[in-house]
Amino acid sequence: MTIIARTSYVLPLTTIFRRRQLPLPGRILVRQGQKVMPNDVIAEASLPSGHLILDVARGLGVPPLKADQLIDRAPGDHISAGDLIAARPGMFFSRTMRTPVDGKIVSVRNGKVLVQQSEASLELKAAYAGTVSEVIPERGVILELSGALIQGVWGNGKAEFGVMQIAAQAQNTILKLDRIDVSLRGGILVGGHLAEAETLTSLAEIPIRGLILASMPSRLIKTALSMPYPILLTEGFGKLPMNLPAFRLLATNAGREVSLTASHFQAHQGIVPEVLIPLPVTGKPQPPPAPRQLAPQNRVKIVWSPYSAQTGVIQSLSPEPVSFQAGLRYPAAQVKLDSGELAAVPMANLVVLEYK
Amino acid sequence: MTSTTQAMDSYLALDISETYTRALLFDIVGNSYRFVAAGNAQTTLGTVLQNVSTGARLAIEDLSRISGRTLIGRDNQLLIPTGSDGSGVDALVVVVSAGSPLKVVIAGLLEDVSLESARRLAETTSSVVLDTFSLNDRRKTEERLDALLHLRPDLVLVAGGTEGGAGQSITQLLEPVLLACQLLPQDARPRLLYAGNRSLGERVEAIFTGRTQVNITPNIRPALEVEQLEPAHVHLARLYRELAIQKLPGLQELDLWASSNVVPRPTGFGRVIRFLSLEDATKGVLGVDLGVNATTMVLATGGKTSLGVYPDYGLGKFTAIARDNVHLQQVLKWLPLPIPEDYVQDYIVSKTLHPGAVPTTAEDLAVEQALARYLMQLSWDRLSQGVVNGRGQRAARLLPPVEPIIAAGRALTHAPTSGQSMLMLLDALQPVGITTLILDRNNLSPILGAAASLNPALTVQVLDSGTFTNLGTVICPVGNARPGTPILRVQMTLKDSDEEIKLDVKQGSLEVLPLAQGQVASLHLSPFHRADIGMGPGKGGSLKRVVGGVLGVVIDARGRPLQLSEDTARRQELFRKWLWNLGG
Repeated sequence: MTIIARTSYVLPLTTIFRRRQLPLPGRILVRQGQKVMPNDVIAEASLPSGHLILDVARGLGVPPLKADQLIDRAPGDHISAGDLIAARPGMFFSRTMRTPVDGKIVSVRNGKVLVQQSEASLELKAAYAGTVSEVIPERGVILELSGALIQGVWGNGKAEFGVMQIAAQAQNTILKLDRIDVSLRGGILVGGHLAEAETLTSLAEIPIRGLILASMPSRLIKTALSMPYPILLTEGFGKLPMNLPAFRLLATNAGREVSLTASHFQAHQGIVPEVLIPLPVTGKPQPPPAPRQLAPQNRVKIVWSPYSAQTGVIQSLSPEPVSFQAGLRYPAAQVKLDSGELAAVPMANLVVLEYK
Repeated sequence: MTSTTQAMDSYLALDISETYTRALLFDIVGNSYRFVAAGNAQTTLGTVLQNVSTGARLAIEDLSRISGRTLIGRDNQLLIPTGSDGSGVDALVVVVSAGSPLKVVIAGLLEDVSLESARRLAETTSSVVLDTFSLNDRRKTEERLDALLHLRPDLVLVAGGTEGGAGQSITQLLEPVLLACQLLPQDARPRLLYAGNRSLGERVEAIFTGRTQVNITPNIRPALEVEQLEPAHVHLARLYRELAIQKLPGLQELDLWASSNVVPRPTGFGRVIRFLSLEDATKGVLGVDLGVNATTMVLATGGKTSLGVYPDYGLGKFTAIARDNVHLQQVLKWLPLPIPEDYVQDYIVSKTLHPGAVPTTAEDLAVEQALARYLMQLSWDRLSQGVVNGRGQRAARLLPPVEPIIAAGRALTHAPTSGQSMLMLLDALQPVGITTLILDRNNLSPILGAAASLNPALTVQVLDSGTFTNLGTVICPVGNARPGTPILRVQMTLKDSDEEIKLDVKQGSLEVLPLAQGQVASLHLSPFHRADIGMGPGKGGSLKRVVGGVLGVVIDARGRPLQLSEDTARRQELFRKWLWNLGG
């Protein structure tokens, strides 16, 4: 079997391009070359909402076609509460129809007038700290970012920019309540594992600007989604240490400003949560290498138990199935883990770790 | 089974799932079609590579390596038709299950009639229902319009109105959809599938033409007591294909190669189960396809098919376990080993991040198989809500009599032992009476169903070629006797040797009669204490020809529904004992 393994990037210096796009046509608020921050609104679209149907035919007591002729307004007209919409003249009494609300007429049809009272604004934030490389008319932008890149596997859908503080001595340090104090205020915190919901809520009270963790229990997902700050997991759910290359890269950049984009992981759209640390560069650093076939000498990260989050180098590949516990058999790789241990790992449980 | 083969000789099938892409070659061997070889690659639809055709090419190259047949030309295109040098193939069919489910809003007149039918129609393909509109809906038209603008579904599915019935209510239901189509930009408008009162079809088409794509299908509820989903499902599958081509990068190229023969995997699976049900109209055929992206369940009787596709019950999609502790408790009860609750929940949620990851320890395997059981149970619960039994009543939780049960999906077909596959199916589906459990180890059934529209002979002949694995005949007596009470005497006589084996089966037990694979025997069954083996309470009889499967003949007398011990240690001990009885 040919395996183009999923790739996770931990790169000290690279250039990436990220597309940010509205779901509907809208207005682009930035221009090419402009620098943006994660919370900057870069495009917006109006989603019509708060509609009201005025049944003119029924109100005037006439058939719909007749009502259409009596309506004295057209789509696009702005109206205010009390404005006359239609009138039916009579010999002694005329009947009128007035709008009870402010708004814009968007449709006149079958004796009915559709009034749009408001517009829900869809705001597209940059989510990254970078430069607008290209404007996609009416849809969005492509952002260019240079610096160190660390990709994760889960995010709570938020993004921020701030100074990174390391709150973990090692890749498996547990972030506990007793380590939290006001000195963390306004920072983007790097922890190892976090086990309690109270720790998340306490961090919100300080408040911090973001949290980068190796792992947390899946029972905390609901709490994590409700936090006002972005949370990114580099490894996933359970009690997993951070992979060593990611931890080292984060630790060596402590004190720098980082762009934390904790997007919801959406494989189909190619969206991954990630941390970008803008660095002063001369020229344009190389973009991340393209995914490649799994091969000996690949540096890999193991994503499944019993070696979750461990990294190592592929020594050899065995396309013929290899035996594991309980009679399980899969095509596998021999991986020399960073701990020195040699482990057989199913190819399906490997992610190529691009790390330079 | 006989049929005439058509001019084309060789067929390539691509099966694009969430994690893997398979390329399968079918060709004439001797006088009939056979499955020749398969190549595999990872599906290239992920975080960086965003094109399924890359994975398809790699899978085809892998197949070329295995089969020695050149399939991709120098221009990197599939070679169609077969060349004089034997390279290439005559036709391609693509089966797809990768990608996001369709976002659907359903509208129907009555909640427990047309709306239920519309929901079941939506469930015949991979979809998620975002909202429902009905006459009982207290929201005003404009509120429903706002909901549509906010949700931006791919499809609005409308049902309602018996043939020749009232039309006014349907047009009222359609009003917000029409307004949404006026207000949304062209590429954001939902498509409309109208499956209601046919007399309104032309009117609906006239109203929506030019505003969005309209599909008019036969009424799915032509009369109050009649539901017919199959004609509408054909339209829905076509819509799924069109939308999948828009959403899955690279699929358009494969669609061109395949001359539009791109079929949703559940549709292909459903076709095969339906086809098999035509052999004996007195019993249904049940199919279960347990995948990473969805669980598909099909019950077909005499060609009438109930198909359910449940994306939220995919092995790699069961996020509900993180929201509701009830689900976790239901999975835990199927564990044969003591494993901490937190570990189980984290494992299952992690599958959503790494759907292709595989277990390598006994504990992880136990979690996967416990999850498989629960997801199959949930799927049958959903499907059974729409299944009407012979008395015109909705089926109870128990399966109706079926023969056989066909299982696809790696978790079931590639379990380390056949006993594990058998026990997962027995525990989850809990068949009654007498049936046969069959594994589709090569996962061919969806492909054969998809290929049937191109060449039915291929489907028939490959099915006849013994591509499926017979796990064994299963006898499941149902009764109220106390545990330990003998409820069934089985006398098995081997055909060749006249050797006779007798077994008295006790309530609560799981027993195996050895019958080698392919060996033929007759069975005489004598129930006690009014136990029912599908012949009526207390009634016995003979099965003149039983063919041995991998596990021989299995008698599951554990009771229906299966009551598991509340005592965890006792329950886990029983799981190990049952598995031991099935050979481990």
